Amino acid sequence: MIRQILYFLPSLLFSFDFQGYVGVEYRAFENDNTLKRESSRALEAKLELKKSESEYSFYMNSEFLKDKDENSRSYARVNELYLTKHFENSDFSLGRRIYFMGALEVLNPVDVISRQNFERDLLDDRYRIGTYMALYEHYLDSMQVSFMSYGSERADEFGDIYSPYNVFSFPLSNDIESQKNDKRASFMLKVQGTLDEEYALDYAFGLIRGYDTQRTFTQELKQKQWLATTAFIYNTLAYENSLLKLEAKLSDIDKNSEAQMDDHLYVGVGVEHTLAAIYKSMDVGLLLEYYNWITLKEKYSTPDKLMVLMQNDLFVGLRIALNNASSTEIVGGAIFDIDDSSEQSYYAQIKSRIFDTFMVDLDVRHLNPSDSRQTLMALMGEHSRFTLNLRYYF
Amino acid sequence: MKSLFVLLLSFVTLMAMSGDELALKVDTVTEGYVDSKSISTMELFNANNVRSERKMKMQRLEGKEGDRSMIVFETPSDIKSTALLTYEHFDKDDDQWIYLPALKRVKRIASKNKSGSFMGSEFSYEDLSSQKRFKYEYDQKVTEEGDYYVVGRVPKDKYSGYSKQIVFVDKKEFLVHVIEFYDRKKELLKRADFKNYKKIKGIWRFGSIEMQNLQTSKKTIIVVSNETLKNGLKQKDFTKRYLKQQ
Repeated sequence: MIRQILYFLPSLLFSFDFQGYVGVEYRAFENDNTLKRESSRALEAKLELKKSESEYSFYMNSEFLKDKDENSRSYARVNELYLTKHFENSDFSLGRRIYFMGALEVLNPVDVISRQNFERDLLDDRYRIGTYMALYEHYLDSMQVSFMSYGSERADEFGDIYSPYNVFSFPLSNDIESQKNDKRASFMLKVQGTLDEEYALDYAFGLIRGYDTQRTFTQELKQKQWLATTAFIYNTLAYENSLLKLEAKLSDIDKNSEAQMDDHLYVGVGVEHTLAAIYKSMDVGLLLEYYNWITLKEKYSTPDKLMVLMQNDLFVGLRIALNNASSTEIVGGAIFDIDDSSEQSYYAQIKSRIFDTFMVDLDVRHLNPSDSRQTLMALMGEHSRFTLNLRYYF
Repeated sequence: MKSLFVLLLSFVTLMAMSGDELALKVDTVTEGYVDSKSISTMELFNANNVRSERKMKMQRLEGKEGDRSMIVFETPSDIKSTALLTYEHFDKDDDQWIYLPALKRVKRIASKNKSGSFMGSEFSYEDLSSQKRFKYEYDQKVTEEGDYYVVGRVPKDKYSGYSKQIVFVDKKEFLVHVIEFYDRKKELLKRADFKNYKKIKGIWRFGSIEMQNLQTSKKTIIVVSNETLKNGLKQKDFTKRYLKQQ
């Protein structure tokens, strides 16, 4: 039997479509906190396997990170593994997968199903952790209705206290405290579609009942998640060469004696304007986004406890695509705190392809936190950092 | 003798083809493919002739109000499975979405301006969209150069990257063989050569396009392979649902 499996295994594996990368990451970190390491080096890899048939499809995504300087940040995990059954006008998926919601570029207030992978980076939400879910999606002419049941997750994990990837200077418990049974399922119902009249509008709205990715971090070194009923919306309107975007979620938190989380509205609006072929083949995108976290009624959940980076903040950015054979892209931007002009953050990133198979990604950031208010940036402290990623894609 | 000359002149005048008539003939021989599936290889050459390559799966659905198309990138590997969905509209802006697999995100693209480069190539999005006659104002004067009819046309879209195009159509089959593109400054910018035409299910299809940028000396060649027509594709095969499944 084992011999038969070994005989068929290679042909089975080669019947899958695969892709991924192996790479190295180097980060230099400069701040006044003598506790934090000045640099960090890591190996990283990702392997995706997929197989699509007319009735079924299978997808697996496994990730590996080995930090040379800290073991607690290293991991190897199957981040996504799910099977989808395709029907004439619907799909049913079961398994662990990353589910994205949102329209804005810098931050997505409504993207609350799959958590950010804080082991990778607190300030880079491209890295996500798969969520266990059953998802039914029904397709109509220009509309889609989705119903999801998903499970609660483990605690967020960070690098160790010496790590530049960890904003805290104290160890966090890997346990998570839930308002009620953390094994209970959460639910999402979403309607999305496109209105194609004089101007095209991509719309989505829905309801979530249960736990979402929003958590509080207490001084008792604990993480807490709260039950909530959340209404959300995210839209993109195409107008001439601009995209106008709106995202908002309104969460009503279940109240009990343990509740230290407030009802809240988190809203983001933005505009993205593209100037095509401004010089030779170069495209320039101008980005302007505003985010506001509005606490309703009580005031338990201060922004530093919520890990909310943008509470009343404006982002101004620029994206330059050279449209050359190397797909070189330069992105720069700044975040300004409306409440406190002393809090600012700047970043610049350049990405380019080398020899058709390597990608190099340079990222420079500087955080200048508020000197008078307790914000997430204040918790991180003033610092500059430089990150280099070199990846070989296959 | 005089009356014969007048008769001959009248006949020639009647037989002279207008730009609109030529455009109709060109559309007639290339329309009716219903849908197509193909694998395309795009070779990019810089001014020093250094080559890089992109491979993509393309499928297209013919439509009366505009074609629908889906392009899925196979290489370079860092953008594998990235997919582009376009709904063309002859009477308004196109709809365009891109699926970014690394982020699991379908993102709308502002598609008013189609003059931007497609994947760093010498092709713009405009070059790869449908070339149907409704999209241009044709010169009514058609001239002849050897085996070709030659006609000028101006894109109706005010956001086009071109001020004018000169189209060379072969006299025998009414197939487009060369298009010369003039930029907004009315200077000759690019030249596209359509080659290796063949009939698939009775419809003429080109096998490759060579696009030469005459201002930068860069070049891009698209080679179409394994093209099949009338595959039974439907509108619902060109939706965001299938964009994510690529």
